[in-house]
Parts: sequence; structure tokens; C-alpha cells
Amino acid sequence: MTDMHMKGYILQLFAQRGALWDHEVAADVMREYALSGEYWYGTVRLTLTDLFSGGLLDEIETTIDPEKSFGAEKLLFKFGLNDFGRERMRQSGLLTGVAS
Amino acid sequence: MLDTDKVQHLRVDYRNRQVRWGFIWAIWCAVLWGAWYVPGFAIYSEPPFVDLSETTGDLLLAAMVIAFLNAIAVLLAMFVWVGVLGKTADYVRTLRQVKISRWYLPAGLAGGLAVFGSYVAIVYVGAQFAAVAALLYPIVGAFAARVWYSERITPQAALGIIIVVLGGVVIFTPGLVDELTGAGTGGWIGYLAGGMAFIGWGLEGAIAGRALDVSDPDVGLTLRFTAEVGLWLLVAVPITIMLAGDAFWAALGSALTNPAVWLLLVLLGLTFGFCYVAWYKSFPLIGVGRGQAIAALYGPFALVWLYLFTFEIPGVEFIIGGAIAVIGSFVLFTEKRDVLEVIRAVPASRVRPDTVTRSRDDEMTRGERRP
Repeated sequence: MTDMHMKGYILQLFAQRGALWDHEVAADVMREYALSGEYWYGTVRLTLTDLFSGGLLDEIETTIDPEKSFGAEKLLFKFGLNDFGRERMRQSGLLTGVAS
Repeated sequence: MLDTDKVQHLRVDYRNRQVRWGFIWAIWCAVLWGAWYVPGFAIYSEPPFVDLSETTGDLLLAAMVIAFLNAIAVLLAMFVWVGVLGKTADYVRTLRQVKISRWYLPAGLAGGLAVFGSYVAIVYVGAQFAAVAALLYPIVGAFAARVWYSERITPQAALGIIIVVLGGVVIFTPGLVDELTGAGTGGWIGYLAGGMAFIGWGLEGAIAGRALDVSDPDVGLTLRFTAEVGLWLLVAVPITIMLAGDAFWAALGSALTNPAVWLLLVLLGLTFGFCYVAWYKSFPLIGVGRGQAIAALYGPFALVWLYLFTFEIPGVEFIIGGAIAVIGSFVLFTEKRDVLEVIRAVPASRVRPDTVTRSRDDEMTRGERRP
């Protein structure tokens, strides 16, 4: 399990792997922190909304896939890190040691 | 192949739900923030604080002890909240990210000074004054963001600031004129403290905004109160002991043996802690601008709460000045830079979501997050 806090880890995922779907980020985060269930899935999605609202992520694409959202028909989002997000990461030491 | 209508319908549904919950959180913030002034005022009626009213030293000692206990009460409430959310481990992990968590130290200092200032203003001038005086914090937040983050102050923001300043003039001037002409009751320290409250909260928001970009809001708020309690224990309490001697321990001991003080501390912790939580929950949903504008309604709420519990009618200058400051906050916080949030806040069927793009100019002003 990483020593990085969850929001920092999510930002590092985007820095390393480029644009990602929210369910991909949730699956990775839950695996990394040994978490499970809809609560943590929703928590990751809320964190992504927070990062988007804060201007660190850009929305790239949307889709619907109930298999990826616990059977419910929810809008899924694909996000990508933008220049401002990368700058905030650099200022906060979150880009150190991250291959981008 | 995706059904475009279905995607559109879900998008409308998603945005509407988001906006609805954003407004609910922001209103809760205003209700709880306003309610905080009731136990904050009532605690001065309880021993030992009711007896600490003879000298300036007594009054400041009472405010010191109350602000210290307030910080601990809020931190404990936040620990419970973070624990219930399952984020305790993330709290520890974020604390260890020094390049992030260090920002909460100056934020806790500025916020702690604002809380202390509020308690001094309550005891010297009154709770209604303390409540409406803090409405001026956006002025400081906007200027701090301008100086530190080079965020531009647009003509609408400037107009909002001017309106808030006018509100401040109405709130502060009558009492200050009395003090300066000798007709007052020696409450100039309270007016100074009212200034400390809005300057402290304005600076806190500007400082904390940067750390909140890269850390969880629930965890971040807990770190901010951890910093405040740490500063009390390491700096403010030793200074108070140096100045007041055994009187500090006597007041603290007496306070902690009074069950009514414990009850009020629980109320202080819950109202203040969860007003912060509700506030930051609203930001991702409706934007910082709308969240702050609605939260400014705490001023009128505080006047109503205080009237309901004390039957004291607020001074006319506080009612008018508070109303002007709230209007100024709405002008300041709902300008174009929040255009994305504005688009989100109208029924999404009225816009073409696909045309929504985000530019740096539209970006919300992080520097103006309150406490």
C-alpha cells in the first residue's frame, strides 16, 4: 500500500497514465488501499468532481455502462490532468519520482 | 452504440442532483455558522467566565480560555467525523506529506486568531457585532489572492468589494465614533478584535485554498484544527500562563468542572466543525463562488438565532450593514470567473453541455475560501 494520501495518489495516476475513466481510477484506488464497496467508489468519484471543480482536471468524455457502476445507469466521466493540475502537483511535491 | 438522449438525460439528472446537494450543504453551513454565535455568547454567562469581567486582563483571559477550548472541541468533532468516514488513515498519510500539510499551519494560525478575535468582540461589543463584522472577510481574501496568486480583481469583483466595505463602514462606524469621542464604553478592543476576525478568516481561506487543491477537504479541515490546537498548546497557552500566571489554570480548571460549559463546548464543536464541513462539501458541487455567497447568509442567520435565544433586538446598524455586506458578497462571488458553475447551476437542459469548456479565466478563485 502506498504512503501517499488518496487525492495525491489519484493525481499521480493521471500524471503517469494520462486520461482515465472514473471507474478505472476507483478500481485502482480501491485495490491500492485494500478498500471495497459502493461507498469508496462514490468517494473516489466525488474526489474527481472536486479535482475537476478545482480546475486541476479536464473532462474528456462521458458514457454509460451499468456494469462499471454497480448496475446503476450512471454517467461515467473520463478525465485528464491539465497544465494547472500538473503545476499544483509540482508545487506540492507530488510529481517527485513520478514518471510522466 | 450509446443512446445520445439517454446520456443527455443522465447528464441533466447528474447536474441537477449535484446543484441541489450543493445548495443544501451551503445552506447548512450558513445555519450552523450563524448558530455557533449562540453558545459562543452563552458561555460567557457561565462560571468561571461570568466572573472574569472586572478588568481587561480578566476579559482577555476568558476569551483565551474559551477560544482554546473551542479549538479542542472542534478538533474532537472533526476526529469523530473523519473516523466515521473511514479517513483516519488518510489523515495520517496527508499529515506526513509535509509539502502539503505545512500549509495548514499558517491557515490554523490565521483562523485561530479570527476565532479569538470573535470571542473578544463578543465580550466587548456583543455577539451580533462579532457575527456581522466577520462578513467583511471576502475583502481580505480577494486582495490576498491578488497579491499571492496574481488572481485578477474584475470590475464586478471590485464592485462587490466596494459594497462589502460600505457594509463594514455601517457596521463599525457608529460604535467606533462613540469610542473615539469618549461616548463609548471602552470597547475599542472589541472593534479591533472584530477586525482581527475578518482579516484572520480572509487570510486563512487564501492560505488553505492551495493545500485543499491537493488534499481531501475532510482531512484538510482536521489538519487545520490540529494546527490550531498545536499552536495553542505550544505558543498561546504558555504566553497566557506567563501573563496571567495561576489565573489561567484556575479558570481552565473551573471551566472543566462546570457541566454547562461542557454542554456548550459540545455545541460549539458541532456547530463550528460542521459548518466548515458543510461549506467545503458545497464547493465541488456548486463552485466556491456560490458556496461562499450562500454561506454569507450566516450573518442574518446569526442575528435571528441570537434574537431567538436572547430576545435582544440587534442594533439597526448591524441589520443594515449586514444586509449590505451579504449583497456585496453575492456580487463578489457570483461573477464571470465562476461561469462553469453558473452553467451547472441552471437546468442543464437549457445549455448544450458539449459546448462547455473551461478556461483559466473561468477558473474559480481558490484564494477566497473562508476559514
